[in-house]
Amino acid sequence: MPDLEPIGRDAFLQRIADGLPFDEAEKLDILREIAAHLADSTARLEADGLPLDAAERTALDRLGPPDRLAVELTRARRTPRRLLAAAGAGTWAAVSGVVYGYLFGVLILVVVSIGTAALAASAVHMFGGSWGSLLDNTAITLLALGVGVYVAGLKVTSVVAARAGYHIRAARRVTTALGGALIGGYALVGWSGTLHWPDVAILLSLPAWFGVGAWRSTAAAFPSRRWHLQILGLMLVVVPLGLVLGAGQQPHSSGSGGLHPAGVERMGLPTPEAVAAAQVGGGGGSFGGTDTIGTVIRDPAVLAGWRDLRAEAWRGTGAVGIDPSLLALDPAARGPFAVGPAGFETPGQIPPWTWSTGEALPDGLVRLSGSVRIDRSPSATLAWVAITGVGPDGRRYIISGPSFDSTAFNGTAWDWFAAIIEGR
Amino acid sequence: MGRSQLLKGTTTLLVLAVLREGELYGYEIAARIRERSGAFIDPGEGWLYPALHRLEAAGALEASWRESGIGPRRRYYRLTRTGSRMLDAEASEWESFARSVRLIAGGPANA
Repeated sequence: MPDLEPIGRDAFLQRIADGLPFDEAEKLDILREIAAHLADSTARLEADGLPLDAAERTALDRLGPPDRLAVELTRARRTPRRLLAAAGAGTWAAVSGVVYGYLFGVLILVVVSIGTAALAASAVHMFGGSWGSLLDNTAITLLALGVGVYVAGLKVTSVVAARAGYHIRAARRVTTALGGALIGGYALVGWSGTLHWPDVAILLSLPAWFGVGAWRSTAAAFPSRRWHLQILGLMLVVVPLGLVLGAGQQPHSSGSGGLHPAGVERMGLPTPEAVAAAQVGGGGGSFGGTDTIGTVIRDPAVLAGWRDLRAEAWRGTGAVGIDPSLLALDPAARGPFAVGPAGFETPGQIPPWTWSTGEALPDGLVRLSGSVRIDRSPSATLAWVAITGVGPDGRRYIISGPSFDSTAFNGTAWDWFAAIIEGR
Repeated sequence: MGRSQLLKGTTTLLVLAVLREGELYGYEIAARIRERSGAFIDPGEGWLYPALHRLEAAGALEASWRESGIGPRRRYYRLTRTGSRMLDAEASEWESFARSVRLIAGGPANA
């Protein structure tokens, strides 16, 4: 559509600049060429006898509407090669953006966490009480990753737009969809480790961090001072909030020592006297999310006729390590949340937690042990583990244990949801 | 059919043809086409730079900024080998087209 109002040379060039989706250097190159053309054209028209104003006006008219010229110049410069270059530059922008944003995020988070923790410790010292944090190392890392992903969204969109020759509003639809899908996939099945619900929440929000970054992307230079202040402000809210929400979290704890949690009868009948008498010692431990429990038996014949020996992990409740009388099996647990195999070890195996000297078991003694993964239940923070078996009378008995261990879910966000759906 | 519509199909040929004689900058290319056509082809210049940039992106032209004798620095365009081949193909196509049009219109085929 032709311009209704005549505009001057500078406004004409500005309208072209506004319509070009390229980076500043490329825009400048194009504008210099058009400006030189206008100068030549005006000079020629003046030489032909037109006054300066009319000559300039005519020179502008001969180039047509600036908006249309910008559109046609953009189309002319948009080639498949540019798209390829945009993909490469976009990948680099994503990587560098994540690294920059992550490092900046870690720095800010650590500083704010230390400050908040100091304030909280002072408050506890002055007013009493206790506090803990939901923002463990995983959450801190994931929050920093969120900042990194946000920066990647900012950078990728502007870089891809400029290199491919598309306006940011068009490019961000592509970068948001593509980047969001990639990051979403990574958040679901790529990240694996110890997860609490805040970690899963942060993981699942990562595509949104990227999307917000892509949507806020501009052609302006990055990073800006304003951006740094925004991130600092965001973390000043998020970190104290996480610390407050996490008040009451418990540290790692484990033990046994003949404790009998309330509800232990649901695990099985008490150990038969003959079986208990044959046991000369036992123990267990947890490593890498697997809890192992064992007992050394003087006369294996005492378990003749027993079947379905297994290690069971039941969800527990209670303030671990504070008041043993509060320890209990979760009243809502109708069965073990995890089960593992149990059996007699072959002679010569040395369970390090049973005989600290590392010597082989004395003749005639055998060890019954079982192991079970206790880090696959999102809702279990305390696991009671025991070896159970079905006796000759067809009823299930506790053979060894139970002992408790604090635990946390370990896996991917996908595993987390699968466990919830399966009721673990 | 108006001249501007005829021009749309021949911009590549016109630009490449005037550049066969040597490198030129944008304004010179437009002026040369105007002069060569006896001012018959003078539809304005809005088409020129998109065409030049499209040909440059296609590898038919190379461009470089240089000082000129008078006025500001200019972006000079030069025909590449790809451009020369493209010019030959375009010229041949145009000849065939023009001959066919003349045949249909009743004029001599080799005029």
